[in-house]
Amino acid sequence: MDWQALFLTLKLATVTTAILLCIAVPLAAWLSLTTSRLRAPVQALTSLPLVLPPTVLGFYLLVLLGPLTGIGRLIASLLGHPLAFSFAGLVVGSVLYSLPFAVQPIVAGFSAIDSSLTDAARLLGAGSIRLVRTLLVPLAARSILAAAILSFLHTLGEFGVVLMLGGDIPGSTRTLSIVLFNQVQGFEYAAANRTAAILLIVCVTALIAIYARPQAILGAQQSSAKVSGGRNG
Amino acid sequence: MVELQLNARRGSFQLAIDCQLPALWTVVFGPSGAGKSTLLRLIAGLEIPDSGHILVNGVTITDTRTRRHLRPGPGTPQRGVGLVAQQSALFPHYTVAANVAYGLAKQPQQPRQQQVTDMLQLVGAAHLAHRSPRALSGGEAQRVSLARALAPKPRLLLLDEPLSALDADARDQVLTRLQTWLAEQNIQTILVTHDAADALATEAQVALLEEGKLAALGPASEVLASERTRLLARLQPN
Repeated sequence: MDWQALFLTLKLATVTTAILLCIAVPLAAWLSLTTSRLRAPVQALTSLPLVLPPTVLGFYLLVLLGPLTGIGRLIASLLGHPLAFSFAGLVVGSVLYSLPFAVQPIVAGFSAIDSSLTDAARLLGAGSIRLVRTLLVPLAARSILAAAILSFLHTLGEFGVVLMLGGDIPGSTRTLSIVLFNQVQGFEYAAANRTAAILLIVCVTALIAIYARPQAILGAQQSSAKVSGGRNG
Repeated sequence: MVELQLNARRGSFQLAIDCQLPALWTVVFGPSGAGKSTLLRLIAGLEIPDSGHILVNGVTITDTRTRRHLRPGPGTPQRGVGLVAQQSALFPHYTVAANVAYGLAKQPQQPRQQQVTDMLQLVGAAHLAHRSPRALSGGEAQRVSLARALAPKPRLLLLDEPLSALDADARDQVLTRLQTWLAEQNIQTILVTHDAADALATEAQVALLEEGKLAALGPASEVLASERTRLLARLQPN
């Protein structure tokens, strides 16, 4: 068992999920609340990784972050090494690749909130940030949790972008899906079976957690909201 | 004093209003679909008119020519307009007290709690302070919604059939207390109703709205009497 690859994969999924939530919550709030003409193109761009082959995304990122572009050279001069074929490069690729899996459930959750509630909050003086913090996030907590789990799982199984952008550097860019690919290429089916089983077990366990305990998760969220409500009062 | 000159098209419906509402308490009366709720949403700042302007006590809160549109809220750079709609729209994850305190975020804790208590007492809902909105009846929820809108003391209060879930006695009781308090605080109020009894119950100025246009404006007894005559005339065979 390649423990180094397992640890790297979990680290990549955790870092990617954390960054994605920081980006996805404000982006989803903007998409849910705005009447701007930019809404449609931004939503289309956000959804692009759903239909784009991962190798295409990986290829463009490899070119963009490589030494042939200004951005690539700037990042290389700042970091001291190019972003491609590094863990940081993998994080950038994973964030872009999993963006729709984080944004779309949260947009759906925010959009499902009754507009009379957001109207009431605005009439009471809530600006966009307070509206998101006190109303949208607590009421769409389940959607945000689902987005986090989907992003984590999607990053765990990522292959095309990882291979194109990160290659196969042990301890730096070699994730479990790359290990699995190498094992199959080398006809090491017993080892491949163990690696695939680990990915399968993690994914199934996480999905069961989503579907089996939604009320418990929601209940915990409501309790914490009541506490903050009490402070307001 | 509220000055309105508004044009707003919503699908095939056109709202065109040009009037001044000087009275402290005005009742906007009209049938369903006359544009009453749209008018309130425009004044509240939840919608922007296609053209026109709105002034409250001489302050322009909307003017499409200058693209001035103060955002909703009770603060000074905001519109200072409160709205209580038929739907109580209480925040389900907050207690009743926290709902009422929502518009008082900038106040220190002590006066804020006092204001919450006072407003809940005013609408007869002090005993509900620690309840969840999910545990309230329709009438209780409307009382709390009213207290929440009153708490920040808006310059202009808009009421869109706010007590429709209360029985007649309870509604009269709350309305009487509310009118006294609003008069003490000098808060101008516009009450929307499609019930002529509500319009006649108060000796208010009545604005009669029909198909998006102001059909009459004046004392309740005059406007509603002429409306009655007009309706009777419609029923007469030609």
